[in-house]
Amino acid sequence: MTVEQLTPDQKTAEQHRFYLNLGPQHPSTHGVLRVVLEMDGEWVLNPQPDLGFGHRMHEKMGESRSWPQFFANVGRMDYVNAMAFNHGYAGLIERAAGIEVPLRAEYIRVITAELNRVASHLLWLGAFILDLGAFTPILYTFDDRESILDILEDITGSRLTYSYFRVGGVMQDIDDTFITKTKQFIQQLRNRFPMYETLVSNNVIIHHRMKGIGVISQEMARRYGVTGAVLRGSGIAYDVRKNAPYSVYPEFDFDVPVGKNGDCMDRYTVKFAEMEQSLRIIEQALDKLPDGEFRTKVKGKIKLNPGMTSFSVETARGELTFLLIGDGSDVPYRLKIRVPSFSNLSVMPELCSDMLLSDLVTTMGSFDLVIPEIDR
Amino acid sequence: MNEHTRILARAASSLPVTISETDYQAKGFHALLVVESCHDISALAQALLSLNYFIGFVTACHTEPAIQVLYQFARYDVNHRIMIQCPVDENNSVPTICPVFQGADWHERETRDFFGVTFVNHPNMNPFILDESDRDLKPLLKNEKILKSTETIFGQGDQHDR
Repeated sequence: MTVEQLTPDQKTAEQHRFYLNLGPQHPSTHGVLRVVLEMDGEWVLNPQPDLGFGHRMHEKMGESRSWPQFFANVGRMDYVNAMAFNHGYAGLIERAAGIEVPLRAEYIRVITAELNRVASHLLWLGAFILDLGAFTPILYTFDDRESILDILEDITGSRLTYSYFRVGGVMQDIDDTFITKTKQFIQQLRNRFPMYETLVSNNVIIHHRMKGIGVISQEMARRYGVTGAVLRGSGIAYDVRKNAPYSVYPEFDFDVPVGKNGDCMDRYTVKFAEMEQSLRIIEQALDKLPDGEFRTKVKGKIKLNPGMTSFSVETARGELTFLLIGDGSDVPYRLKIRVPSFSNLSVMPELCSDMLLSDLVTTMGSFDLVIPEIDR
Repeated sequence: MNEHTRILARAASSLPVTISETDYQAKGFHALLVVESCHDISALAQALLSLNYFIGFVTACHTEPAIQVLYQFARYDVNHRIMIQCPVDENNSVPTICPVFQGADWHERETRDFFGVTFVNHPNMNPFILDESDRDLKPLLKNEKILKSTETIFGQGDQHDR
C-alpha cells in the first residue's frame, strides 16, 4: 500500500509514527544498550532491544583456557555484583571436580556475597530513582555503598571486579577489623532505612510513577524465564538461596520478600526489603563464624569430570547458572553462562508495547539491568 | 525415581524421549531428557509449560556427528531442574520453541549467532549478540583438532546414574 492509498485518518496516524533510538549512550539504559522504539507520539508501539555492544565472548574465553585462568573473567561480567559470579564459578568447578570447601570459607563467602548484594541494591536504588527524575537519593545510597566497597577492598584488594573466591575457599581470611567494620556498617545502614522509606518509598510522586506500571503476570514470567526480584514482585517466592540451596544458606534464617501485583512498585518494594534480609544473613553469619581453614589446598590442574555439570546461584538480579561440559581435561569443552538480566529484559517487547515512553524508562529501571552482564 | 521426574516421565511418555535421572548433588540437575528426533521438541516444550516449568536457557554444544542443542528448564515452586539434549537434523536446524516459551526467542538467536544452528519457524533469525558482518562467524564451533564425538562428551556419566 502506498501513502496515496491511505485514508485521511490513516495518513495522520502514519505521520505521527516515527522511530526513536534509546541508547546506546543514554543514562537510563545504564550501559551500552540500544532500544529501537517505534513511537506514536509519546506512546511506544514496539520496543526492540538491540544487544551486543559490550560483547566480549566470555564463553569462548572459558573454553580456550584451563579453569583457574578463567577466574579473572567472571567478576567482569556483572561488575556490580561480581561476588555472586565468583560464587557461581567456584561452586561449579567444585561440583565438577568434587572438591570440599571448609565451613569457615563458606561463611566468608556468604558474608562477602551478601555485602556485595547490598552494595548492588544500593546502586540500583539510587540509579532507579535518578531515572525517575529525583537526583538526591543517589548521593546518599552512594555514600552507603562506598562504605561496603571500602570494607570489601580491605580484604579482596579490588573495589568492583572481585576475584576473591578460590576453588576450595577464598583468597585470604577475614580479620577482626573486617568484622568490626561490617557490624558498624549494618548499624549505619539500618539507621538510614527510615530516611529512605520516608523520602523515597512513601513519596507520592514515586507511587504515581510506579503503581500499575509494567505488570508482569506469573504466567508471563514462566514463559520468559524471569527470575530475581522482577519475578518475586509478581508474587512467586522463587529464590535460589531457598529453593535450591547452595553454600551454607540453609543455616540462616531469612525471608524472601514477595509482591502481589507484579508492577514496578512491587519490584521496588521487594528489592528494598531484600537489603534488610541480606543484613540479617550477614549478622547471623558473623555471629556463627566458625574457626578453621579458609581454603583447602587444590592442585592447579585438576581434571574436570566429563559430562554436564550445572550450578546456579542467586545474584542481585536473579538466577545465574553456569553449565559446564567437561571432556576429562582441565579445559572446559563448553561453558554456558546463563545471566539473569538477559531473560528478564527479554520480557520488554511484550511488556512495554503500548506504554508511555516515561513508563518504559520506569519499567527498565525496575529491572535493575547491568548491560555487560547481558552481553557477556 | 524422584517424584517430579516421575510426573515428567508420565507426561512425556507418548514422545520418543529417553529420561534418565541424574545425581543432583554431583551434577546440579535432576534429570536428563534425550530427544531422539528434534521434531518432537515443540511437543515436549508444550508438556513442560503445562507442568509449570520455566525456561532457563537454550544453548548448544558442538560435537561429532551433530551439534547438540541443550535446553534447561526448572520450576519455581519446587527444586526440580532438567536438561534436554536434542541433536540437530541434517540441515543443521531444530524447530523453534518460541510459540510456547517466548523467552526462547533471544536464546535461540544467540545460539544461531554462536553455532549457526537454524531454528525453523523462528520469527526473526537475524544476528543478535554479534554484528551483522559476523553473521557466519560461528565462534563457538570447534576446529577439527579439538572436536570430539557426542559419545565422548555426552555418552558417559550422564546417561546412567553414577
